Amino acid sequence: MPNKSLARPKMRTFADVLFVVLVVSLSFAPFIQVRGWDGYDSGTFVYQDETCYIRYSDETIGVDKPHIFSREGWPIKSLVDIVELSDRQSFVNGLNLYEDFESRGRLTDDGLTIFYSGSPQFTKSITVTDEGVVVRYESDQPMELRLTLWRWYFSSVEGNDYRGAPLPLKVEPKETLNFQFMDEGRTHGGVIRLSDQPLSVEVCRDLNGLNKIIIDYVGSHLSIKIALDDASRSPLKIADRDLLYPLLSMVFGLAYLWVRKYEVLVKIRLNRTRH
Amino acid sequence: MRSWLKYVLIGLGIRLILAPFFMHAWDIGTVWEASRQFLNGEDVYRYVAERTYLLRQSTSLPLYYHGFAYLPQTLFIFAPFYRLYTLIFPVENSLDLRALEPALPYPQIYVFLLLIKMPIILGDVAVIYLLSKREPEIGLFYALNPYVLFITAVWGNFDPLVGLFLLASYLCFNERRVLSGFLYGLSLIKIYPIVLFPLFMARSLSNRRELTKFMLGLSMASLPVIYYLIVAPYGFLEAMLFQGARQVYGMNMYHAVLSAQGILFQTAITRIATIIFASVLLFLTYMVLRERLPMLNSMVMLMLAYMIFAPVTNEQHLAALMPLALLSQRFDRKLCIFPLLFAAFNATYIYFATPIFWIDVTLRNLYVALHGAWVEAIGAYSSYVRYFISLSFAFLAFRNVHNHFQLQMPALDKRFQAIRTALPTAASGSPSYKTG
Repeated sequence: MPNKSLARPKMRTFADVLFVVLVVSLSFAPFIQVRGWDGYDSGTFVYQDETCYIRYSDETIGVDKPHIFSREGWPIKSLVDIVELSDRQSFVNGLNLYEDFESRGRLTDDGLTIFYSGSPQFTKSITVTDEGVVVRYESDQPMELRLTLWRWYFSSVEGNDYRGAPLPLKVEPKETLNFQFMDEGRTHGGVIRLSDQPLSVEVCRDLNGLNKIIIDYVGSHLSIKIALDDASRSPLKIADRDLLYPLLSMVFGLAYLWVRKYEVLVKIRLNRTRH
Repeated sequence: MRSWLKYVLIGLGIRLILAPFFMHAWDIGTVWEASRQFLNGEDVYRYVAERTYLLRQSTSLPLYYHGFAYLPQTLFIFAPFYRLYTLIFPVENSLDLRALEPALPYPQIYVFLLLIKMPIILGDVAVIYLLSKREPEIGLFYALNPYVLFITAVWGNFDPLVGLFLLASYLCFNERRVLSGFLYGLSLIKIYPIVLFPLFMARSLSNRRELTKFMLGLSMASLPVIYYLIVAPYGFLEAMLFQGARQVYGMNMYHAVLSAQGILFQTAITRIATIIFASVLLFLTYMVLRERLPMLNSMVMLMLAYMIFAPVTNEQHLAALMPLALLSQRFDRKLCIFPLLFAAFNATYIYFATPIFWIDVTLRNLYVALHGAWVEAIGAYSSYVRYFISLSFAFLAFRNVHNHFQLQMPALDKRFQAIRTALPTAASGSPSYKTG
């Protein structure tokens, strides 16, 4: 029985084009921006919406818990690193959150909740509201909490760059802390709102600038709300995914179609010359 | 010496030399874990199902524990060799290959790796024999093929066994239908050759007796499955569901999706991928049956379609196709370069050499340094490189699917047909449009 279908040039071309369209379409998948929380089997969780991107437990290092970014730029958004809460630099009753506790993350209706096993038992939950990202620490008993917020680098904290100031760089403990930082030549302002007045607040610096804000607190419940002063909420922006995937797929697709076309021509010519 | 024997010995020798020193710790660990549990009388599948449940319970994500999710025939193949290992080292035989930092006892690990890979190596030897008997050049190609060597002797994955069973099933399909069915049943130790089931069925349908024979053979090979379905259906089905429902992954055109937001999103894409895969498979099966393509071409095409369109296709899957595909003159041998490359940017080659590097602290530090340097050098680009390789494979494989359709001369216009009939000399001397 003669081969009527795919052997036919038109059918073959149609199949080729369909395949290329499929491959190219799939390469745009990373551009689809789904609002909300998601996770990976490595234990990493991510949140994203139009203006905010949060990563909990980076796949390779696993210490940024969470790392908060803002989405800026148009039409391609890039991530602006705001601040990172590090478990490696945070302590409960003198015990390091990264080294001395086992933790596991679980997605709930409100957001992400991290359960720390050990004593005292406590949880950390991360939720996103219209006003910013809220990180809440809760324990079944009062605890001495030391939290560290990282950034390379803060331009200033509470309007002070602490240049030449004597160590330690103490900040007046209060419920609201303002900070500024530079990103791609642009100055951004952020605010940290605490649910309670902390015991003390200290700023640390290395040779290049201010890189840490350390908050000491005693109690069984503390929430920290972190937000940018000037976060824009334009829904028109597209995600900041790399364009390399669609570019690669399109180049491959076109090359494939070109080769296939050429291939068919060669075959026909060969047959005709021979016979 | 006969050429087939020479090739068998060459193939066997190389594999035996490499096997003790390399492994994919997680995959070898899966076989080790399952064999140990099986010999201890534990329910292998229940363990996997429970681990999956715990993982899901603790994260609220549709995660799967990557454990033993193969048909139970696999256990009968590997467990005897693990038992042999425990007999040789009755006391100090403890292995923990699935730990973050695997503890490798020396020199036991070398014996263990050699023994646990022995069924795969013997399978390869059988393939070399079967191929060499038909076409010595192909037998030699298979014996020395770096990709096959990598999967069998270095990685330690048992897809080449699937390849052997498929090849053997194909070879005796026409003459010994019961055996063919039995061998096909064995090939389902990894579930993906199920894509060939409609083809086998359709090709047997014309003769009810032959169909019964094939089904009888298949049922005999599936007795362990039937046993688990009766005795422990929940754990078995839960564990097997993993293969059908896991999120897009591997060396395929869906690779870009892996850089998307997370597992929930990937699960949604997987549903679409599954629909695409099923549609293509149905269409292609219909086409190969309608066109009455040769059995070999049809099998290669369907397996290639699996490699292109299935949501999860890993580097080792092509090894299941290689023995059959090499028999086909139309198979593009360049295809096996890509999974070999992909592994370098996925697991990384150095990962396979842990049994060598884990000997002492100095070598271990060297491993860390080398691995770190590799990740530093290509880490930022590795996903793009993997995508590049995946696309290269997908397009080349798709082209190869086309090539497996026999190109025939298009039907001539009626006017010319009339002329052709009127000129018997021209018609009889007309060239065939058979392509290589």
